[in-house]
Amino acid sequence: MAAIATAIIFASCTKVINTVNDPHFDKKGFALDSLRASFQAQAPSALGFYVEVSGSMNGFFRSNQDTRFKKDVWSIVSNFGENDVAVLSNEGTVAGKYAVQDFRSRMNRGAFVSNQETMVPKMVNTILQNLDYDNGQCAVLISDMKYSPERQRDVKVLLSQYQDDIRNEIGKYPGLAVCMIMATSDYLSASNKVIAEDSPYYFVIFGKDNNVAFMRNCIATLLEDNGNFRESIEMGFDYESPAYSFGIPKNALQFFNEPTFIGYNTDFSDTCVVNLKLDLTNYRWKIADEDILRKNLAVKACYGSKVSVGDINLDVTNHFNQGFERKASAVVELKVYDMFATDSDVIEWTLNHPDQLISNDFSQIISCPNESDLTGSFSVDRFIGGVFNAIQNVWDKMPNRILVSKKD
Amino acid sequence: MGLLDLYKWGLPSQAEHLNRYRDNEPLYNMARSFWNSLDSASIYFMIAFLAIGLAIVCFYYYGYNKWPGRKYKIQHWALWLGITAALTVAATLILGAAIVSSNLQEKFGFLLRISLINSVYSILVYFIASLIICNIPVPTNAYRFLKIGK
Repeated sequence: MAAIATAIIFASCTKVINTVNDPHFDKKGFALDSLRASFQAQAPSALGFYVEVSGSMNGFFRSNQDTRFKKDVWSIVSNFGENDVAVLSNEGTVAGKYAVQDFRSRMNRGAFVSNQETMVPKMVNTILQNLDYDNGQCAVLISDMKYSPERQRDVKVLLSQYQDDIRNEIGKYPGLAVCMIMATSDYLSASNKVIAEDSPYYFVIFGKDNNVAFMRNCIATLLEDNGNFRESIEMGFDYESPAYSFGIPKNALQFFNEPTFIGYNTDFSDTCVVNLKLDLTNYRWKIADEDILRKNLAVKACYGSKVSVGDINLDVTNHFNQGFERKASAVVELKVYDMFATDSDVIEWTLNHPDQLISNDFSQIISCPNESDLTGSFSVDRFIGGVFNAIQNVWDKMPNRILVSKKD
Repeated sequence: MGLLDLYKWGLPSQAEHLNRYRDNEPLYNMARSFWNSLDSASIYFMIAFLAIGLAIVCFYYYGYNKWPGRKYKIQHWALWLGITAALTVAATLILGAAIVSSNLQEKFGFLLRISLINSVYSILVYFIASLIICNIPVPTNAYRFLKIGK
């Protein structure tokens, strides 16, 4: 009797799913690789707001005049509780700290209109010196980011060295992440006439990547709700490996909760479809775009079959459960076919996050050559270049694997 | 991984079972998790039919037949065969209800089928064990009607 039972157990346990002996799965189809960490956004432990009040920002601050800038800044600053707002002087140091309500009334009545220059490297230095980002603190700088050291005699030389100054400043803080969110606002002349409908300015978030991602989702959502979000770019992030699960497959069955699909029947259809569900919630918003996602999702079959990306269905909401929470996911059809030579195959896939993922419009705005062009952002390309010179985005480039087998 | 293969001949295929829910992902996932749960529980179902079959056959040959009264008849062997089958159905149903978690309405139908299959297996266990006992020189008062030869 024991022999019969043993035989039954043995027969059941020696069923081979992984017929190609792929080292990342055992014979029965269980994945052997340990689960990898996925990138998670986290609320910061403390938050500081900094506002630059140079001359180039005057058009946003005009006395008692309504601008989209004022609406958005108030909407964002007041959303995060009672954090003080620091105003940066022309030397880049903190000229004053105001309670939220005080800041609001000063901003509304035009108290921040000035003719100061903008010393971005010094501003960055002031902010980062006071930022304990390793312990979850975040800082948000609100500025048009136009570098204009016009009172200095060596303006041209300083401009040519600007990118290196930023690199050197940011490079002092290993593990720092930076996200720039571009918004636009109407810009008023001294006589309160609108001289630019869509003048760009930025929310620059400094902190640890998880905290910056949280702030980016919140700020971008508020801006988008107001119709003023344009684009964001981020640097110094470790996107790790994407969180994923699987939807209902076609012509195969998922084996327990493993990344293994069994029973691919070529008599029924030559194609097996694995629906890969990617969680994009905490990644750059740009990646939640069908074309961009398709371009950055690398898939290949390891043992001679063919695999292609079919339909991609995106589901994005910034108000999950009517709340203030972003959820973004994509269901990607991975079509496996032409499995002639073997009874199983392993599909490798990786989600890439290239730095140069920016729109042409954004590219043109940040490389505006003219400081007085109100529809462009003079010198911002050099700022971004400097930050990228100091900190890069990285992610887990080890592929994720899916075993597809004709056996069941 | 369990031993659900033992029961597949009496159950719908996994694909057939899951295909009913293709258009409803939450239900599909419930059905998948139900199937996995059945698969994991199948080792216990197997232990149940083996244990019940062996325990009753031992009781029949070494306990029941020592009790007073005439039991030297095939009917008594058949009666305990029936008890084995019934007990296995009941035990498998109770075991299944306790360890297979699912809100699917199909749960009872599946467990009933598995219980009936288990009763067939327990009958086989009872029969094979009887065949062995009847043919080895161990003392028993039971009728060795399955003894091969003299």
